[in-house]
Amino acid sequence: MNSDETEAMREDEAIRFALGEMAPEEAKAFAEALGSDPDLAELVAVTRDSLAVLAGDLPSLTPPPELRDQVLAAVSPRIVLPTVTGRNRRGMRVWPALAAAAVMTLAAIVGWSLWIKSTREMGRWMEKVAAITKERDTLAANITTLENNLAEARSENDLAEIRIASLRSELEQAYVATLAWSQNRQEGVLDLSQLPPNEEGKSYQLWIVDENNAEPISAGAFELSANGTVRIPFTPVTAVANPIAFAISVERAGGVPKREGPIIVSQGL
Amino acid sequence: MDDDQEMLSRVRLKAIANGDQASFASLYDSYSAPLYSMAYRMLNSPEASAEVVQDTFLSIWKDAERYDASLGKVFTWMVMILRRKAINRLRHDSRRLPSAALSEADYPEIPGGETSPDQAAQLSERSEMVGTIIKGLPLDQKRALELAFFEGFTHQEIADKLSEPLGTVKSRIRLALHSLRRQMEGGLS
Repeated sequence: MNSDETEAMREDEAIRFALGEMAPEEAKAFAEALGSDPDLAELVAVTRDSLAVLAGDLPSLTPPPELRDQVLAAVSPRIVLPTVTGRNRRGMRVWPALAAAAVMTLAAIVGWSLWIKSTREMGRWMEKVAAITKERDTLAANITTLENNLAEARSENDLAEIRIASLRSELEQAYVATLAWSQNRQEGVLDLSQLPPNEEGKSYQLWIVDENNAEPISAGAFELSANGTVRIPFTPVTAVANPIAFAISVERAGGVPKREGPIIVSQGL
Repeated sequence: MDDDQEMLSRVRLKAIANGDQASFASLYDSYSAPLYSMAYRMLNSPEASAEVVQDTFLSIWKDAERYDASLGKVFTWMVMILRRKAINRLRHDSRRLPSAALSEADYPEIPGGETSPDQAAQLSERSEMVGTIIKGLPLDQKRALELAFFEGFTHQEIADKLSEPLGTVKSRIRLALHSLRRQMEGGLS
């Protein structure tokens, strides 16, 4: 076999590899060899690109509409966060009262019964009531601890979903603002520093780029009278489904419903 | 697919790897039509195409974290997954005996490092050039590529189908890919 034939064989292997037609072990060995052969690696990449380009050039067909629902229904969330519902929490607060009511009822019944039958047994029964009362107090304390733990866990969940973005100046490429956004609460806080005061007749306006919206969503206009750090809470004008970036533009005084002016600060999430 | 679309798709894949169903739905909306079109081109059946597309998206959901941007675009990765499933379906349905069922490794990895922004831009540029050059290929070369890519024929099967020597078929495919590489070397230096 001459060198041309050897070369041709290697190229055939590269094409088979690119198309996933090698057995796993053969593919693994070939992949390792590709690491030291940039030409063959390039041939593999070109083969795959060619396939994708030819696929993308095919006449476009629309899949059956019901397929989307079937596909989405077939996947399930990988992470299920524990949730504490208001109903459950209220239910847990009721327990100490119920326990207390039960103990008191029991104590009344026991007392009445003993008064009727024998005062000698009163002492013994009272000891039992005391034990039950103590048990109730312990149970109530445990419930309080559990409620505190749940509240803490819930607070941590809230923190976990808050996203932080540092907004970068388009002109100076320096960070001039930091932003925290809570998707659950649909609100955020903007911390500004080093942003110059706005021009007369202009306002700064904050925008949220939502993947599900064609247009950026306004999160309010604001004015800066002097340099320095300013903290501004904000809420978007409509619900934000999936924020992917934040930006600040210069707009007419008071803000505009749809962005018109230049973006001076932006950052993706 | 432009660079913004590609970047968005990569972000979505990362989110899908973390179990984000909304991103998965968005990815489906972006790519279900071209993938369904490709499945239909390969299987020529609406029912089989829908099944293979569904199977492909389930693999994407399951294996999103395996996507490696250094190996190519998101669409290319998805096309590779769909092609394997469609060919296995074709071979199963037609009882065509394959030399081996297509590997479970949808996109065998080539050892390498992380993708830098420059590399990502070059990948994108390469993909665009491939599209332009393929349109200018001789018809017989393009046909040989299509048979190999979409109908899952081995080189020998293509030779039998076209009644041409095996060497000729192999040469056409290699020539087509060489032509692509040569022209790209001129444009991607």
